[in-house]
Amino acid sequence: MNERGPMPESAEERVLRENLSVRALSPEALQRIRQATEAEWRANIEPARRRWIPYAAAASAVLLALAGTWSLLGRGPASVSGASVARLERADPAGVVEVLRLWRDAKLNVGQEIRDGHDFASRGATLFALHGGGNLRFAPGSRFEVVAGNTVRLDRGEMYVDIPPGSRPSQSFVAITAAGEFRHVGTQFALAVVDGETRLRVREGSVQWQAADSESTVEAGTEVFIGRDQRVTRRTIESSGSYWAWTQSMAPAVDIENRPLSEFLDWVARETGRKLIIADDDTRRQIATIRMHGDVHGLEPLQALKAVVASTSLHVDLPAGAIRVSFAGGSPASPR
Amino acid sequence: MDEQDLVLRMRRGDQQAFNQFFDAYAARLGAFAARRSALDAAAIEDVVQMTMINAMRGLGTFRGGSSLFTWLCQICRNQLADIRRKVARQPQMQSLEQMSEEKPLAKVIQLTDFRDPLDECATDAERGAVRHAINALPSHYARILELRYGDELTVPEIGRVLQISESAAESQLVRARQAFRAVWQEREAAR
Repeated sequence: MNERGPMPESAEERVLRENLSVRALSPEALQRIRQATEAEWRANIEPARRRWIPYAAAASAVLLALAGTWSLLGRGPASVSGASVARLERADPAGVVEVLRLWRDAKLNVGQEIRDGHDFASRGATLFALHGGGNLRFAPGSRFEVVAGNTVRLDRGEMYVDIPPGSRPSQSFVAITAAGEFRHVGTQFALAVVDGETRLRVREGSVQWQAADSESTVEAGTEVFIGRDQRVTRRTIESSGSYWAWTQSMAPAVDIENRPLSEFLDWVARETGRKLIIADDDTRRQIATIRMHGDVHGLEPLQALKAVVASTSLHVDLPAGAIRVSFAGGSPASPR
Repeated sequence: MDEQDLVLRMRRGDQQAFNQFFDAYAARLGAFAARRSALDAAAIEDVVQMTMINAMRGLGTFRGGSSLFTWLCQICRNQLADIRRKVARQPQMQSLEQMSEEKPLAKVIQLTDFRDPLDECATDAERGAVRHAINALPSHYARILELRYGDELTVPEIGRVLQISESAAESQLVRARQAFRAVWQEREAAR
């Protein structure tokens, strides 16, 4: 039973003041939201603009001239110049467009290739599979140019590069921003450009950063922030958690049918940035022998883990930065 | 700021109007979503982004019957409700996530404030209770309390934001506080 009397007004105001104050969205978050919102705004106002044109006699002539110029200068939505570099695997409904002249942005469909020498704007989150191995993911509001088969220039927004060790033995991958070149060395890393400032976060492996007058290696668990004045700030970061959350919604599909459970667990660990801990040797042996049946397409890594766990006698804990797997008593049953 | 005029200019493609709109509302919407949910920073960013995108898609439906921010808040509430529904449909998933993904928020607060983790737990519980109480109030009461105690606006500033007189803002604030006190005391009595 509560023995306190009515709360004095000052106490109730204290409760409100202390609990209604919230952490503001970071400038970076606001910038990302601004880019995505602005892209959507532009996409929605253009038809309105065009509706006015037929009513202006003078504008008709402009339209005709425009149409002529269009065909001369524009590359067209079905542009196939340049070498194919990657394939669009997945995109949020807002999608990704190839940026063409005279506002002729052409929306890309899943399965379509992107080619070097072309500019793209990712309005929603997107996933591209790189030819030769690995994948690229772009946050909403990103703008980038495919410079060459192994090089992408990020103009704004955020890009996640996932190139598993050994998957591109003959070709390195380079990302370019105003702060220099970032070359993968068996890596997962995220590169963001906001207002001309670059932020590199290395999740796994390392990244060679080549600036105008220096070169350095950035190891996993490090964030490097390079200001417009080229001032560099470094700090330690975790490989899992909210920094990387957006990348999981665009994780490449994993095929589990008749695949070993151990392979699937490795995939979840890699996608979530968590260390995989197998409780004991017995569990390790059991996991190595289990093969899975079914489909987890469309599920984010932890959702997929949940779905698979539900069909086994596995027990999974998620301590900070890790996935711990054990069998919840007795011998394991085969999943689905 | 004439909000209908602002929307009209945005619909005509006026970049300045878009900038004015975004600068005026995006951060406030972030605070609104954070106060009305227990989502982490990344999820709040997603909610605000989807709210703004939906607002851009539905700009033509804004008729000025309410303030622009009230209209945005309603879209934001729908986003939050969608998330709650999705979570409710996946109860097991939530329990798996809860083991880890909801912890970092407390950790972030702890790292920035350097407070004792035990104090942090108590703060989280109280924050949740206040959120619950605020959500139980009529929306105009919740809004005015947020402006006064969350955004720390003065009464004249609140009047300007809500487009009401200073005395109306004052009396509405008193009634909102009384309503909150009633809900809060009920909760305290139940403990």
